[in-house]
Amino acid sequence: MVHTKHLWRAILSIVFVIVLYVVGRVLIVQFLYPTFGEYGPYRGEALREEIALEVRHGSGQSSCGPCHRDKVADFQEKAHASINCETCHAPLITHVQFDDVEIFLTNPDNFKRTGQMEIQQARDLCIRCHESQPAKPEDFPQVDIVDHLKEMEVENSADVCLGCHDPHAPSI
Amino acid sequence: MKIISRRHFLRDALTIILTGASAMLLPFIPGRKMAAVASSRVRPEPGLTGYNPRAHRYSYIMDLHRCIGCGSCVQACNRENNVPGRFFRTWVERYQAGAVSARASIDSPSGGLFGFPSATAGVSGVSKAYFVPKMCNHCSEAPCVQVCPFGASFKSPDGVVLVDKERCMACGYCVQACPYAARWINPITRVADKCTWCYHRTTKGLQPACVQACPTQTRRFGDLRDPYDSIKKVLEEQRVGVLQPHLLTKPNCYYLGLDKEVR
Repeated sequence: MVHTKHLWRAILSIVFVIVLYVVGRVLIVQFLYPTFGEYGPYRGEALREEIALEVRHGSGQSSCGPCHRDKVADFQEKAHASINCETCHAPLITHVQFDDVEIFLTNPDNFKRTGQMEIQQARDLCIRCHESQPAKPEDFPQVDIVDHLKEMEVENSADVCLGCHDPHAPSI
Repeated sequence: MKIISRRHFLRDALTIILTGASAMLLPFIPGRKMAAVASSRVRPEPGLTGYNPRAHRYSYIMDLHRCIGCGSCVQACNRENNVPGRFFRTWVERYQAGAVSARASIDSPSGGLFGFPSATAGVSGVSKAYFVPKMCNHCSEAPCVQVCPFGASFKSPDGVVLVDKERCMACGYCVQACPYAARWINPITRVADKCTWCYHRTTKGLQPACVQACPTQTRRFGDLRDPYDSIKKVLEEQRVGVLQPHLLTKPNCYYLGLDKEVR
């Protein structure tokens, strides 16, 4: 080929752009995202940021047990025994301050009380699970609330269920 | 136009192509930062938490035979993760099916947060009804990870799809890409948000908030790398289904008792 200057210019420009990109990328990744590539094509720090988020709920009955031993003991063998305390009450963090690792040490001295744990009394909490519905599994205990109250000859009110049922030992 | 011989054309074309392609060898020059990217074998320092993501592989089971639609899971998730008003990281749907040929009626009042009202206007002749809780499936071939233009959506080594809040630009492409409608843009943090399987809890040995809240053991979470894990047994021995299998996303959330009507 006689006239090749234009080709060399083209090649050189392409190579120059490539080199610019490579050098630029290496510098940027090294300075802005030093943890990039630690576990994959993303910042390793992002994983740690996710881990560091605040834990609000405890670990279930094993968190409540150390201080409320009697309540949790009464709870066992009863119909609601498999339910987590926080499901009906409130997340653990509303009641005690804890460093989440301490949950496993289950040492009450590590928990510092910060507030009153919410105690729900409303009938609506019971109804959410126990109001009868075709979509609920047949073997799940459910009643038509209106019929049930008529049968028991009890007036409906905001906390009517608690009149007969103890949520920690609900079967009568 | 000047005529170039075939030989000369091939010679020049190959020269250009090979010069450009040799740039691909750059990551493999030992000792450079990009070598780490290429090999992805950088060992993390014991670091902040001492948690090794490569030692775990999380999975999730939903047993639809047990769900009572109480919404405790939705409530627990909202409280644990600061989920704002009209969005959900997890939600419960109710399906009411009648005739085999008709489509089931589906509803999800407030995502099931307050339970479900027993009477549904306009639905009659229901012969089959059930609840289906849903959330991010943490797919092995997640479309949301693939489409993210900024690489903010990623899958951790332990199988959890997460969002890098610093790199997310809230373009919403991942929200569109997810076939399970599990992602949304958080108006407060202004990045994409979704269920993370409570990564901040599971990395410390706790269960996700929804699993812990469920009163009927509908939701179960486990680690497939743990030889004593209970859900591993379920996956090996029982018949499980996944949502939208025809999309080949390989979800990691497995359903027991999945019906044909579930979308």
